[in-house]
Amino acid sequence: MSKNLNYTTEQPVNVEKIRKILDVNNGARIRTWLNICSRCGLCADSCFFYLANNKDPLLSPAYKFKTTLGEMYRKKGNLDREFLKKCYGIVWGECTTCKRCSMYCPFGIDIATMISTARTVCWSQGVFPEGLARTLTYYQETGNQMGMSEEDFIETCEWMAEELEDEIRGVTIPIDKQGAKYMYTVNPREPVYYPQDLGMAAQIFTVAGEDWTMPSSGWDCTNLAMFAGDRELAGKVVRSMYDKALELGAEKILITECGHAYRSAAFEGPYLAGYTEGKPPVQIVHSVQLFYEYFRDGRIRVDPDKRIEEPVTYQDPCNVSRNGGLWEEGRKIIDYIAKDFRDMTPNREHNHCCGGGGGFIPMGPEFRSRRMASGRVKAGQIKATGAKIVITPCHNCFDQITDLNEEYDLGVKVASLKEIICESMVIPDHLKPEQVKDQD
Amino acid sequence: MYKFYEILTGPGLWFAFIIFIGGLILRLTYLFALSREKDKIFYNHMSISWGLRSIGHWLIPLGSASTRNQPVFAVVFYVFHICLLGVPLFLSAHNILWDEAFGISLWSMPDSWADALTMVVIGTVVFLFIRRLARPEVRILTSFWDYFLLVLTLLPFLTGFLAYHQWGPYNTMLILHILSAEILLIVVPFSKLAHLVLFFFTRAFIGFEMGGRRKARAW
Amino acid sequence: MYKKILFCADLYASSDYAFASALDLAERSKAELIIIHVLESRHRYSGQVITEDGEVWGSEEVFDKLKGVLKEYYFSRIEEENPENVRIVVRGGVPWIEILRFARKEKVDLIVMGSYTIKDPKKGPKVEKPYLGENAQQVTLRARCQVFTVTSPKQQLNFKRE
Repeated sequence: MSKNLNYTTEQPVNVEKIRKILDVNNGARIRTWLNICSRCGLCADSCFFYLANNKDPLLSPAYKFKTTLGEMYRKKGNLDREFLKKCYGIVWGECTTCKRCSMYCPFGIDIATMISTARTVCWSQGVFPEGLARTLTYYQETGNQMGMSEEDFIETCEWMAEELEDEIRGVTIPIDKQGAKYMYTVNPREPVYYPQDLGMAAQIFTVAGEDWTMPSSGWDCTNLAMFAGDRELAGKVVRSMYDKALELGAEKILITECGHAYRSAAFEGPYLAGYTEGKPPVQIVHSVQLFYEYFRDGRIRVDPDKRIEEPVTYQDPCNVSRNGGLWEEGRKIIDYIAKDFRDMTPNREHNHCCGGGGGFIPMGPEFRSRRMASGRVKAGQIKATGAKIVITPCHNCFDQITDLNEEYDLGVKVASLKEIICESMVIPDHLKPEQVKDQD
Repeated sequence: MYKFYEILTGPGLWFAFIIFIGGLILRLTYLFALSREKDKIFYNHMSISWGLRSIGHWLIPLGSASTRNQPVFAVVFYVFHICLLGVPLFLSAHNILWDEAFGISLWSMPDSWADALTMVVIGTVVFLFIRRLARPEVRILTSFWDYFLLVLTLLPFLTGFLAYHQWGPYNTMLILHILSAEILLIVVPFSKLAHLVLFFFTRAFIGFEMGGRRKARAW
Repeated sequence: MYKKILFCADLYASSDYAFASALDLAERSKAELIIIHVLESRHRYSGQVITEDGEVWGSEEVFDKLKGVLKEYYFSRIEEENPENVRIVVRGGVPWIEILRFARKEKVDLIVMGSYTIKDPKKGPKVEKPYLGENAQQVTLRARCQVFTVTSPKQQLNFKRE
């Protein structure tokens, strides 16, 4: 289990720094949680790591936080590198901070928060995954996790607008429009690896007649610094997005179909960025919410002939469903676009994590085998539904289920909501491109 | 012997109760002050209805998905707690003592009930003890302290039961009964047994966090 | 004629015929021939590419190593010793997207490619018959320039002017 783990430095441990972090976090909340755990073991059955790895007791959430953060407090911060390396394997390799365990603990102890705090301690000593390290450098240099320059980004937007000329008339990606209703922010992996996502979003907004804009900076809504434990950088990243929205006078910030971006922007972000009231300066809306509203209000209609016939299931991304509260909206959208919907068991806010979140996919190939092992629970759920298509509004779930599909031979196709909506929505006549109309 | 009994039921009992109640109040006050200093931001998200629902669903037996996963344990667990609190409060022998000392008392249950329920407590504690040894995910978390507290919780009931039936030397049993109960009361505020009151706070908190902010049902 | 021809290499014999066409066309048009290879990712969004050494990050070293392999393979098929007008480029990601992105940036006139490829080097050729793979489909549909898909030796382009 400890092979090939990356540590970035061998310097002596800075105990003062660790103590400071532990002290700041030693509020009533964490202190009570550490004391009150009555070791009942109910949390174990809720954790997919535990369930997928033959119920190995070392993977129960209580054990995980006890041996990392619990030990850190017990030793009063006097840690050595050996201990930190052990923690590395646990807090990044055995937990995605999905928060399912806190729903199953009789006391409601939030183990994910404690693991995040332990991550912050490890990060402060230079112990964190290489895959996240490179993104942190990119955040600092360019403000987005993939290091994409503003020029390249705008160029990509123009490219996508060009591609769409054949499908929808007059579709543009307006950059830096003042006073728009929605400022759309994306996951940089979209423009870098699959820019069609930007195009599809533009299509949907155009058909729905939305007043939106794409900012030229602060367009990265992700926050891998949050998962790396670098709280200061995490705050900076979120603040740049808030600031751009305020600068453009946008009414709301729209988040693409990304899991943790919603958690970062709407819930943890305000605190990371220094807004003590806990509310972001601009209202945050997630794509799932907005797309649902489009369907509900009839702004987007699905061509009845194009509704999906094959059985479909919905993967609840932890940070959109359980930690975002949008599980019903996701299902309601599926009702519009598919005929045969088969829900997983358990579902909604009790659904299991796919295993790719919490930074797991960005952490890279060294964590792949662990990801595949722990994904057994999710693979079992998908297989049990008998679905042929898995719809999920999260990039990490998307990639993870693609992997699980191959590993466990599930025979499914993975799709995001945008894809399906674009394929099946009715394009009103006035937006159809010239040639089509002429042929009528 | 009798002198010892006098001390235990006189100043001893005062001492134990003062530490018990005072300790819990002190701990709560300390945590409250600490939360206002370091956890201030969480006060933004208080939602009474979600807090109460979060507490309520876990007070009902099998009211949460987690307990439904292990129903036998959950039922034993609830019965244990109900009897743990119910028997000492509604025991006729205790109420007589309260009446004699302060003129107040609660309703007393018939002795036969108290007897049966005490046996239930002893049975459930044994079950919990064995569970702690048998289930690997529980065993790995359990330390000496956990076993000790379980045994300490058992002692007042066991010794009381034995004393009532006059099995074994009565005086010694009685003294052990009172002593173990007093030690238990003193230990409560300083250990995980403070969950007596802290349960409500942590449950309310997760109710605010998951329910109030995200409408997720933490049960 | 063509000024810039983009040939999409896939490291396997399935694109050899396409290369022969691309080379032929480039020589006749005196065009610059750019050989591009895209290291495929199993994921849509992660940037982790599949190579012979397994799944790794798409880093400069990986790309440079592959450039060397491509140079060896393709230059041996070109008659000239050190061809001036030939460039080798390596990218990582979803192949058709990277091809289109590069083609757009470089403003190439023509894309030449095979019609299918083997997805995972470890698994070996999955099909015996040629078929129209996803990359060929997407590039053909979305490119702003002409796209030639070449499948068999009989399709080698013959520009003899009668």
